[in-house]
Amino acid sequence: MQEQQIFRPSKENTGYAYAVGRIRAMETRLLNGTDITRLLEADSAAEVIKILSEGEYEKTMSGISDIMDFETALNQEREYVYNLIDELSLDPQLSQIFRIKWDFHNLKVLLKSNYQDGSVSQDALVESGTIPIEDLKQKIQPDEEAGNVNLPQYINDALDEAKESYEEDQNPQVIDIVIDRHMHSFMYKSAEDADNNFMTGYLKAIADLTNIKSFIRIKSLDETMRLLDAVLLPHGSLDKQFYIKQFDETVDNFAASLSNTPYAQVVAEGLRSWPEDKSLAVYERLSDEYFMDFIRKAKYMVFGVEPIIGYLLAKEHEMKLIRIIVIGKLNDLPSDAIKERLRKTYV
Amino acid sequence: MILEVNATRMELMRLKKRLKLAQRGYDLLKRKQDELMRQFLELVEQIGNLRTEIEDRLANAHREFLMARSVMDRETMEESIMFPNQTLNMNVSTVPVMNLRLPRFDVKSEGSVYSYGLSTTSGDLDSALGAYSELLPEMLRLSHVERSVQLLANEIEVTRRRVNALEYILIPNLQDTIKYITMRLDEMERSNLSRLMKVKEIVS
Repeated sequence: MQEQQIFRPSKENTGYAYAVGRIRAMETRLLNGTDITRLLEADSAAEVIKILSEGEYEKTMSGISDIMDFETALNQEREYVYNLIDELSLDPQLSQIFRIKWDFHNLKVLLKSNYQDGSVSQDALVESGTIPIEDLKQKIQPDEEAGNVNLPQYINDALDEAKESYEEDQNPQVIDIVIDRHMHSFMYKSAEDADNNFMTGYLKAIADLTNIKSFIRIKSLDETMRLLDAVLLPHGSLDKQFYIKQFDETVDNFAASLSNTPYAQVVAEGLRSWPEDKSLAVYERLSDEYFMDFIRKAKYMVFGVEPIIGYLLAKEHEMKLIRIIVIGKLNDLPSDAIKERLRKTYV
Repeated sequence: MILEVNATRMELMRLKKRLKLAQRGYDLLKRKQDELMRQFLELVEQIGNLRTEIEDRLANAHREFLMARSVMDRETMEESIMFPNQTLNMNVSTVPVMNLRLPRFDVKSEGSVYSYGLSTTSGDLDSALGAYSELLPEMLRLSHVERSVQLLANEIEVTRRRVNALEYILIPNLQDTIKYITMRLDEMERSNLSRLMKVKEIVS
């Protein structure tokens, strides 16, 4: 498979020159390999937080009184980055594309709680979305007095299909499956409408690597072809039929059939220990590194929106690394075990 | 110790009956104690193996869950597991062993434990939930075996106290008393005999 031509000529996008300048300055403050090693070598989770609060995470981490609040601090940091991106991006659709995933997330939470007892754990909801949580609630559990709310069509479509599928199957899994598919489609179409090849390429890679992982998980769980058909994300470079045709094949044969794709190395290395331990941890790490390599191309772009997106994704990736280290330290995992899960950094 | 009883033939017969009953009771209780002990040791051995196995498997499951949790953010994890699709039916019954009723928990599950989408979750979550799901019936088995061991231990203690009471107190006391009464009666018999002989001698 040929590598896609994902970048438009940068001279078309000089409008982002100021934003890219600021992003370049901020990129230098992202955690690098040495910083991660320092965090890894810290004695405790509290020390990790202390080290972080002395650097770029000062605003969000320094106020932590309970170590378990570090996730809240990471959420605040994410919100801070989203706001920055909102401010820098001239294209609202692109700047919001990352917030929208939280709308879909909240939709899943509220719909699932609606089919149970109606109570919602605050730990499950995220306020970083573009739609207020109350509006989503009002749509799912209408309160006559509060009046009607108008939600975007893409949310209504996802909600209607998820409801219909759940009522037919009575299986909460379909809520996630339907909404995840709508979310991915919407994000892909938004990127396509914005004519952003960087984002469409990135989302294609997400669809492919997620679908490959779903295929292996379904085989491993001995699930049905019907489920595979339902969970496959659209807009990947490998179409649905590719997976469906291989359903009866072994995982080894399936992995071999991917040898001519850009994911050959991720699959070969990621599944090397799979026959023994049935763990996808290495595959997930290599997938994340593949995304990071993809995003890293944005670093070499002089203009355009890509460096801004690259920075946001790199920041989300960095927060994932912090989470892996802090949770590992909180549970007294040895550094080597934490290291196995750590991904390469953006810088 | 000699019991406080009248040294009469009537009392002797009553005590002999009591002794016979006590010895029969002792034999039965001793046999009960042996059987309880056999079952107890069997279960204790089972518990030892079961507990070690469950603890190892549980530690692995926790580790898998921890790994899944570390690569997924808090909200996504909450969302993924907030709506379980599996229902569990637990049947509580009892199994009679001697005079005890040992508990027994049987669990039947319906539906899949994997009630979340695959796009936003980690493969480690499948392994963790799969392991937890397989472990639940084992943990329930361990709980009823442990409860059975507790009940058996209590019963063995009570039985041993009874056996000891019979063996070291009641039976020796009865035997001593019977011996004492027999001696007293023999003594009375002899004194009566000698008195009679004396009377006969005087009369003749």
